[in-house]
Amino acid sequence: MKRFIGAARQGGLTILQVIETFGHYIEKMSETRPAQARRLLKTGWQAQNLKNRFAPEKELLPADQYLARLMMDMMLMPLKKPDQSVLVSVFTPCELMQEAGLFPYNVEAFSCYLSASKAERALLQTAEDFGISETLCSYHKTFIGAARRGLLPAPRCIVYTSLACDANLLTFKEMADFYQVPCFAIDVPAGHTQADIAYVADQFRDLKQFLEKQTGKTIDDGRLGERLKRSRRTLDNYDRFQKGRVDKYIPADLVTPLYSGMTNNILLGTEEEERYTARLLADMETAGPARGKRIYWMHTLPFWSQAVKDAFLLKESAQIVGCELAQVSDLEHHSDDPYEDMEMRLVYNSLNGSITRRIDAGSRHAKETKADGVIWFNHWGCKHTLGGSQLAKRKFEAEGIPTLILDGDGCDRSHGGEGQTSTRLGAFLEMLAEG
Amino acid sequence: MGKTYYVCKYTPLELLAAFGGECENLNHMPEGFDFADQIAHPNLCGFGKSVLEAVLAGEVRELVLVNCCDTIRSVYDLLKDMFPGAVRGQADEVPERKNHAGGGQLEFLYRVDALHCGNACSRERMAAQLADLAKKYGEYKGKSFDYEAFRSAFSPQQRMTMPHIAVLGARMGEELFEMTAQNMPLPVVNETCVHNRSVAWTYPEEEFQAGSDGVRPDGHSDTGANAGESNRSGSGIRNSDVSNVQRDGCACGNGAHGEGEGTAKADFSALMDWYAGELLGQIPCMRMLDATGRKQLYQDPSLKGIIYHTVKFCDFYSFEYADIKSHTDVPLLKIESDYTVQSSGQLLTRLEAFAESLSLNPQRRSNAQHSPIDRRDLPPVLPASGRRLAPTEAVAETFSEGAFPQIVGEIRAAQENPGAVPGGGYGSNGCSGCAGQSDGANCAGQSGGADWANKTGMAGMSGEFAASGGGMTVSNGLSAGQYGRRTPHMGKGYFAGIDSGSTSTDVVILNKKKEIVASIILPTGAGAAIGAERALEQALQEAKLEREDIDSVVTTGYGRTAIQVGDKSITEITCHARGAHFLDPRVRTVVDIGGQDSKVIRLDEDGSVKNFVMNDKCAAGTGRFLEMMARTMEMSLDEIGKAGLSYEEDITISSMCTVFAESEVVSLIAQNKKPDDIVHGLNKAVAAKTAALVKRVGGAEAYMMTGGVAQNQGLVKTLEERLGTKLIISDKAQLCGALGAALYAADMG
Repeated sequence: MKRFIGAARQGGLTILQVIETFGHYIEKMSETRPAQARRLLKTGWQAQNLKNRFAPEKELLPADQYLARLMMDMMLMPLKKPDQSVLVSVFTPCELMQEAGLFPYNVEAFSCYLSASKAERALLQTAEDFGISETLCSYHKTFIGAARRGLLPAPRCIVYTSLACDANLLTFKEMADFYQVPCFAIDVPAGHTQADIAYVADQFRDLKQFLEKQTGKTIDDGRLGERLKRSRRTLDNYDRFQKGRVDKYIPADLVTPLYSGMTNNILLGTEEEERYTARLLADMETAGPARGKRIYWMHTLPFWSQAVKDAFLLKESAQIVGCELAQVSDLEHHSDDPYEDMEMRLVYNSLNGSITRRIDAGSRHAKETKADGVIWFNHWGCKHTLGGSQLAKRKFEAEGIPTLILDGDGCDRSHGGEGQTSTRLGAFLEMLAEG
Repeated sequence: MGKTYYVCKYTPLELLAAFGGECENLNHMPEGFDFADQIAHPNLCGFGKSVLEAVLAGEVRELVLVNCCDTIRSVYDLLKDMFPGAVRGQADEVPERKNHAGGGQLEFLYRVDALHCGNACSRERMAAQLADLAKKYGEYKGKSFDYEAFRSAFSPQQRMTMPHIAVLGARMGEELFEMTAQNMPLPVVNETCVHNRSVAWTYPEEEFQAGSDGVRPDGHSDTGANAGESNRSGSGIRNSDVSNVQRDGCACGNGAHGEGEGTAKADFSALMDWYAGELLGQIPCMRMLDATGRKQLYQDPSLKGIIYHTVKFCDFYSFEYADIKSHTDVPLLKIESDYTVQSSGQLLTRLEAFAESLSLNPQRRSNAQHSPIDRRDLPPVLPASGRRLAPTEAVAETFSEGAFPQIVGEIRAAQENPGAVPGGGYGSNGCSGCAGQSDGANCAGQSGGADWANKTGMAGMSGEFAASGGGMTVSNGLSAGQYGRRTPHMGKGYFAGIDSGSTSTDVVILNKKKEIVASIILPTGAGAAIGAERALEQALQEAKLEREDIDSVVTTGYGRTAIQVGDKSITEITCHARGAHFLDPRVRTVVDIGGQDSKVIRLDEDGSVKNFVMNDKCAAGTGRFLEMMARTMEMSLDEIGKAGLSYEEDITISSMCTVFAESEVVSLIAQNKKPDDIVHGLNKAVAAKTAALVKRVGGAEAYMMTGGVAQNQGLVKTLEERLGTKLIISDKAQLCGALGAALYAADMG
């Protein structure tokens, strides 16, 4: 370890080697010394946060540089203040948790950071050794492995919904049992009837009581309403940004679209996230004219993949102009009642119910950004995405949007197949270039 | 109109019956997914694809689904897109139909949007769904709700109280279940998924007046809105502390039927409200937010063994398996299938090994000198089609507690290469669904109703069963002619073991003192039977013996059931354990990396199998993996075995999939990486996979490595580093299975 730090200080290691060695230490240390591994992880992420602050990726919009810092701050919270953190499933509205003074974090984001630290392999193996199937979503499996290795301290409580994927119905119960912490589940029906809406809204009212009990803090409905209005403004800002970027060149890396997905989730409702979207709109005004091929991305992104980096990382020739995960809310449906408003974000979420909702929303958003093509990413283990992929391709193409189905994994490098990814992406971009 | 098919236990079968529906569980395992793969991704769960396959093949015209999981959600989406008219209860006009290869036509398609908790609010939503289904199904069938048909559709609930083995977990297709049942020494009950449906008729009949004015033919009540709309008042909370999960944490006050309104005349809505409660109140499936009620499935005192089944790409049940394996003392086997007939056949070795482990109780072990039960000597047991057994139907046995060794075997479907066995390797066990692939000679003798005890030919076994059973009858009994083996006879005190593997066939001949007098390793060649005959002949020549000098022959390995020269066949799991124990009694863990699979076996101090685990279906981590990589690198197996010893750069091959790993190796070659370094990377990949198996099985000192890959010095070194221990490599490592078989032959006397 000392040798590693010494070499790093002397510049004897490349950034990639530093990350790889860091991940290796996390993996090894978590086998026998989880508390130390946790401290090392926290230190490493804090170092990354300092880099974000003082040496950010300058090609990105200032707003997106700011977002990277916000995300790192959020991911550090469960390590720094676990007893004030709440583990949530993706797309769970978090305004109530924020009002209760809790820091929400989700499985997907946390596992992404572990994967970025190259520590995922041993964690995945730990989960599989425990008995979890290898076909479970790798975000969830990485998270379970991290928990079982003691890399992740117990949260104050857990809140999840049945929305989006089967893994949510499994992982959070397992984690609640493992950590022995209180758990609250929100059951989301696929339908849109008034009864469906009331069913979910009532559960949010009960969630309020649950959180008050867990934290001893009273949640004020007036303040909650104001927070929901802020959420609404944030989502509207982001929607305006997506529509406004249609003629602009916005430099894009592979993680900003994923961070933007948190606009719908753990960051939504905060002043910082509203500030981010406001900055986005301001930055957009000064952006240059559109150039290169524009890709709308469905589902998660394999940010670690060299083949995907080669195609899209800060490339003028081709950029990702939007990501489904950042636009799952149907902005046409909202309510002045904060509980119903949160409920509508779930019931009208494009990932709720039939796959055609996702396809229709994706098609609409791709057109709004004048995307040249759509990439439907079949993240290993995501049955809903896999199941609808061929139907999606057919429907997108019927709408005149060329579509590539790309198999891979957003988190687990062993499900890569870099050669195949490179060939498929290359051929797709060539096809788009030929018009 | 034909049958209405369903897939989930939350399907309101009794309601469908009330409109004249004849319901059938869609549980057939197809040969493959030729049609389904045209419209769905290959990585969809095999059961979901089997539903698509059945519809596209024209086997299903009416289908009621439940939003069980993401796969079934997708199946519904795909079928709805393909047969839009079916959602309205109409067959599509030909021009509207999408082109697809199967030519099937769906006429009625419905998906119940069942919520994930069983509280009163959820029940109201379910009741609303039932009313909607009743309306649509009634219109489709052109019939009115028939109260009597509804009531009589409920079947009595019975649970097995006799000693039995339960199949738990994800749904098991009928073909695999039959094969499982036929290979176990106790009655087997299918408690998987849809099969543990338990909806009982408990409705106070006086509360529903048949022909009531309140019920219209469309199934709707004239009294107002359906229950889901009218009764809701409170919250849908499911608010639980983990330590105190509430079955019904709902604040709804008036949702429950009968609370303060028991004397009121009930109408259809009230009936559906009650019915929704019954449906949701069943033993929960893993999709439910509160699945604690499932504990009754594996905390049953009459349960003597659990076969835990998972379906590839269905994740729900791996969580329950992880929980059960840490908390049960009941012998446990995990198997995984992809819901095809082919994958079922590949599971036979695991099932047989489990059955052998169950049957090797300590008393018999000492009496029979390690003789395991030949599965063909045991009866196939009820039920044949996964239905529940009533107590009176049970095959009665009185097994004492502790009769079974405490074994927790985790086994996943592995590639057993049925192609290595002419006609498939599992036909001899009478799996009806495998008829097309079975060995006709072995299956020809099947007949019903035989008394198995007269046909075992094994005094120890028949004594144990006959003494306690008495009334044991067999529904699908095997005739003596099935075995097709010679009767053990008096030779000159020599015993042979034949291990018919996918790559080589090994023979060991022992004398009375259990000394090896001959051993042979030959390539298996095109056929297991011919290869075994040839290898035995050569071994006899080496020992200067004649065939008549051999008292008994035991066969093992993939080809074991196809070899006619044997007196008995035993799985390679049991034989490897026996052989390893014989070679070195200190051994507690055997790592066997063979051509087609790798396995890790935990032994007890007697050399009996305590636990075992096998690799996944893919070739990663097997000898075949190394063989393919050697070919890619244009090296011989000898060269690749030594190359990894002198590496300089520590390369990591991240892909565990053989195909992706090959692509990675090609990339490394293109980067001019040294062959030694690449081979070391491959050795690390195999060692990691093997070490994971060791961990899963609870590996303990001393370790022995057997199988042909034990000759690969580089891999052995890497695996030793990974495990942090030395591996015992016997000079008879490759003969271990055959040696174990020969020892069992010697036990036969």
